[in-house]
Amino acid sequence: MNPIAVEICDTCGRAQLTGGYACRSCGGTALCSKPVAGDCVVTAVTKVDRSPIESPVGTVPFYLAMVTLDATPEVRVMAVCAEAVEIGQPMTVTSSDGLAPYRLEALSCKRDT
Amino acid sequence: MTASAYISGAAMTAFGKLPGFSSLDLQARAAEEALQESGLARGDIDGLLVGYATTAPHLMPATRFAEAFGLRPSCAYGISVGGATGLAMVALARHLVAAGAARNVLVVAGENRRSGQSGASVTRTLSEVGDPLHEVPNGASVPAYYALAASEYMHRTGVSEEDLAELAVLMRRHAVATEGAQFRDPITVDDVMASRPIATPLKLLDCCSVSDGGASVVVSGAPSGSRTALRIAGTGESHRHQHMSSAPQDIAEGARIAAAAALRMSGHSIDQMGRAAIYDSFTITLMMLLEACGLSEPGGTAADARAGRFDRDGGTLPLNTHGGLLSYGHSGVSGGLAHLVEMVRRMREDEASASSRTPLSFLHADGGVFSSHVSLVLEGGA
Repeated sequence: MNPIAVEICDTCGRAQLTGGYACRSCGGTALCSKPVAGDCVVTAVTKVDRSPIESPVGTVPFYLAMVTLDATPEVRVMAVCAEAVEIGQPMTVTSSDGLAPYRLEALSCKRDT
Repeated sequence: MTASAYISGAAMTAFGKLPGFSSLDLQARAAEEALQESGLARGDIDGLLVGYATTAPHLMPATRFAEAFGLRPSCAYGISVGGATGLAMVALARHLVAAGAARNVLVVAGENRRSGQSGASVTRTLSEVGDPLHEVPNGASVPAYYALAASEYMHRTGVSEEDLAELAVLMRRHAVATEGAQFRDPITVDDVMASRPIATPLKLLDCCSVSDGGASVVVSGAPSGSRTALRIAGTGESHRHQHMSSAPQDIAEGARIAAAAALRMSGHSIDQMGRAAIYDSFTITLMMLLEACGLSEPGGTAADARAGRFDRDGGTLPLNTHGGLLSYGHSGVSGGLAHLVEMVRRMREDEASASSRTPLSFLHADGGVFSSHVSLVLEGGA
């Protein structure tokens, strides 16, 4: 499974998506990149019926969701899925190069929680 | 003591499809009327703030406008804070006046957003609001981003799609009674529910339109003009994030912070407000901002709307009485500034008719996806 790239702040330990120059929480500038597993929980979802550009999972309709990563729950990722998903649903988010597009996939095995 | 600043002139054009007018034309029409209303001459304007226009991008929008409009201000700035730009410019004008950097600041917005570009171009521009690394490649746009915020909010509060629709109906009811509004045919909750799906739970009538239009105000260090001046009693801002992926868990926290700051500066409480104008790019925007600013209880906006609390006539807290972005129209920066122009008109009307309504109003706008927030408190009886 391809991991998601995040940055961890050396000062406060919080994680965020890549691309910043400082920690959005404490302003610390020592950030180290770290790949984390894509296990996640859906916190918001919309079925998109109108979009200016084609999504990586095809034309509309498709599903756009916000998820929080299990490994770093402070990180929220926007991801797409061809199939309907629900808030609270455990999923896996994947990326080909650590950046968007992020795709949501069903978990391959049952979780403990 | 902090120096005071007053709204001495305010004007807006009709909104809708206005072919034949450039963005500069619409800016100039609104500015001319605002200037006339203020009783000031062009030579009195020593500060100029001009909002961005997507159909007329320019390196120096304020200087460009000054040249065309015959102004030679001491300070002139182009401003870009998304949907919050209109109120941000008024807050900044107040700061310039209070700092002694200008005596009279002309605030200008206008754009032929509907006629000056294709629909595809509009949606492409909006899609670029997303994070280029983490969001845009997913293939969605601003309506979908607000739909995500709606999904989370509705899951948490139990608010329904019909509740959201109530606000679209309210805005349309107000627009029906407003000359110059883009949409003046009454609608029902059923109409909203049956309108074309955009991104669940948002349907076409939950979303603002794309309009041509202009709006302008004059902010002065002293009351000016023949009409009653309204004092800018409080301003507050908060800029928490740009993109949804970096938003705090409480995505509307910026509204709480900005509102609290504006109220603190004004010395008034939210419960004292006699009128309100809240940014309504989508029904969910209006609902979440009303509640974050403390104008409705969490999850209680729809019940307030159904009870008539926000009604233009007879409501205890009339809201977006011109019809808001949802029905008066949304022409970019002037869409947000129109809320203030409408508020000025209604507060002057209250004063002229010796209304018993408290001469205090609260305004709030957000830019991006609940990213940038600006709150204002206006005080009549100055």
